[in-house]
Amino acid sequence: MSPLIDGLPDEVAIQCLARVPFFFHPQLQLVCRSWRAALRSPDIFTTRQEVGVSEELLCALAFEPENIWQLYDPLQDHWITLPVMPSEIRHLARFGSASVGGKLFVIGGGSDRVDPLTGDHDRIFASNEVWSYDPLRFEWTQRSPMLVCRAMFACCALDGKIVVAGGFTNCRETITNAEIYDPQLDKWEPLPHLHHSHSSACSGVVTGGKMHVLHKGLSTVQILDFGRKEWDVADYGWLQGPMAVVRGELFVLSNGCISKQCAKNLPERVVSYASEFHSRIGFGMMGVGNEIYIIGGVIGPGPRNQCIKQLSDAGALNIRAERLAWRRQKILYSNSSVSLLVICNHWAPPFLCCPIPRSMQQCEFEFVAGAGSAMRIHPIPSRRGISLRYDISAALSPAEAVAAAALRQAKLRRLPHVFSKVLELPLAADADVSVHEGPLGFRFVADAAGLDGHGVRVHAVRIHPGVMKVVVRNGAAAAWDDLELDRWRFRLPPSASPALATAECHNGELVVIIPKGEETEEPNDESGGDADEEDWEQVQEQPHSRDGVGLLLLVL
Amino acid sequence: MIKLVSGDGAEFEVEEEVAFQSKIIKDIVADADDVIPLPTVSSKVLIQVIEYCRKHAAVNSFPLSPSSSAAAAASSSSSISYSKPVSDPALRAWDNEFVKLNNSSLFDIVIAANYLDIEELVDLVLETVADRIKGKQAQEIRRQFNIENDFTPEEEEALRRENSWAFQNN
Repeated sequence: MSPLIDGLPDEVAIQCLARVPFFFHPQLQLVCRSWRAALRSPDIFTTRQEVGVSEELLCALAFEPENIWQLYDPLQDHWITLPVMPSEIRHLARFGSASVGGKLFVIGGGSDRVDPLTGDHDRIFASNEVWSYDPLRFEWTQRSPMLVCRAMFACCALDGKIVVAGGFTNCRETITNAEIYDPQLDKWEPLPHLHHSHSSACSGVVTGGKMHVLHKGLSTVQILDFGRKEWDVADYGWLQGPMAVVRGELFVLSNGCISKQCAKNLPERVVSYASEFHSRIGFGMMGVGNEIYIIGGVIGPGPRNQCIKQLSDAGALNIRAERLAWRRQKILYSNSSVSLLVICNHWAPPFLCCPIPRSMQQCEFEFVAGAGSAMRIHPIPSRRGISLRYDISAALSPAEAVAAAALRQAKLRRLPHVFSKVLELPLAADADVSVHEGPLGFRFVADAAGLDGHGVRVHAVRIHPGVMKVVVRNGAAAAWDDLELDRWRFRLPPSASPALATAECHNGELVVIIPKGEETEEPNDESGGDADEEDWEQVQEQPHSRDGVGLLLLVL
Repeated sequence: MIKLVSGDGAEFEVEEEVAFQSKIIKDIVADADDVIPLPTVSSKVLIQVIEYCRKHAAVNSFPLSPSSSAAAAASSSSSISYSKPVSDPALRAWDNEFVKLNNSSLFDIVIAANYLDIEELVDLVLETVADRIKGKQAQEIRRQFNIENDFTPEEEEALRRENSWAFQNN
């Protein structure tokens, strides 16, 4: 076989190729067969670690496009799109993820798909599937399944292995089981059970070399003692919220502030205000290098903004910088042919960070995570022009921050209601629709060009327990494809009565009227409405979801 | 003084601290005499390597002496890593000039440096070559290193499809 580089021994040439940043490797693999073979061999990974040129890549899985992971390379400021993860579970969510040995592991979780016709959720809530992605070979591989199916669980990389704990079964019952995976042997083994579970999303974070399991709503953490193979329970008085580890230190986003999470009941230290992320939910938060990244999510309605905006942007905060300021990042997924959306799927790990080899060596992707909640309002076209100012940290006085935090808390409690009713019209997202709100209802008027005047129908669809969507469709059955992203949508207040909505085409105008009914308040959900299993059951007993089992329609 | 003998018989006298930039020479000198034959290194390459070692010996001996590095550590920059000591901008600039050579000269130097175990010089040259590779199209890389494309057009097309993100002009 000819040498990799004429004039250099192969062992030196390998060291040279290893120093080329990961981003350029696909080009390098095109050079010739021997380069391709060398660049796909595990030696490259080892060499990159030895030479100290490993890189970190941030990995993200958005709600759309379905099951497509995207890696962000901070050095090149570029998003990389991976091949589709070949899982049969549609819109994978509630999974765990970790980075070990230069590979990305995606573990368990279930489907987040909602049947557009019936509004039903997919049956798979939790699974035991395990997938790994090798960035050197550009391929997905299915691994041994976990011993137990689980969703919304804690998942961490620890000493070259992966530990999972807690979460929910496919029957939506909480479990305390824990297990450990050895990627080399491709084998799962049981660990002692957690001391307790809680009916809320569970997440894991590694700090100080130890895995900590947190439950939303519980102040206690459970810490794995790796040597004794035991869980210890502690209460550090940690703030609750999305967390990220930066250079071994734990940070939390809580009450609109990024604070350093100090161990052992020390008062936390606020390092930055993050009011830009104020009304944002369902985002991912992760530490990469010296920075905390906040990516994607949706913005709930505020005083000036009635719609739900899905975001595909990212903000980064350099924790080590002298003057902390949020930096706007490139938009996720820069492929113009597809609408870009990021909705993350649950509190814990949709967003990962992997240190991919800087040359390729360290591929210890450490996936941290953080993300969304049960708010799954569906595809709204992303607006590229969303402008956010991240440079607020300097502008906010502590008093303002406190006020903002108080305000924010109030907002958060309202969010579940905010999303409870949505109108969707068969028009492009940027269509010109006039909206009038009167004491008796809403009236929407739009240009009906291109619509079949006789085929317009209104459907009220339950897309989630307690969440109704009013869909105006243009007759044909084929239009039932809910994957269409480019749709005009509008959030309706709780007082609207989707069941009484009417639509008609008149003189080339589409007129939709949605009356206001009696205030049918949602059950007040003190916990904040997040996917608490108990709440799910209650919500399903709600009067207005009982009367139509999802599908009501009025024909004009 | 240490005497180095190149493959073509030329002799070079260098100071110990210059020669000791090479870990191999340091080891040999520790248990042998002061004339060191280097049969695989030509005098042309050896001159360049000695030039590099001389420069680095002069710069490194000062800032990396135990007292000054302790002082540097004390002056709050405790996280400074000495694994890549070429942090002096003047030396960095000198290095950049030093590697302005064609590929085959660089290869000869890196082979010699690898043989003599001069870690910094290996790093410097390999990083330079890696810089010449990165960001280039496969076709340019082939031309630069005289590599023959042994893929069939179909294979090449498949590889491009596999990673279409990498081949979009961004």
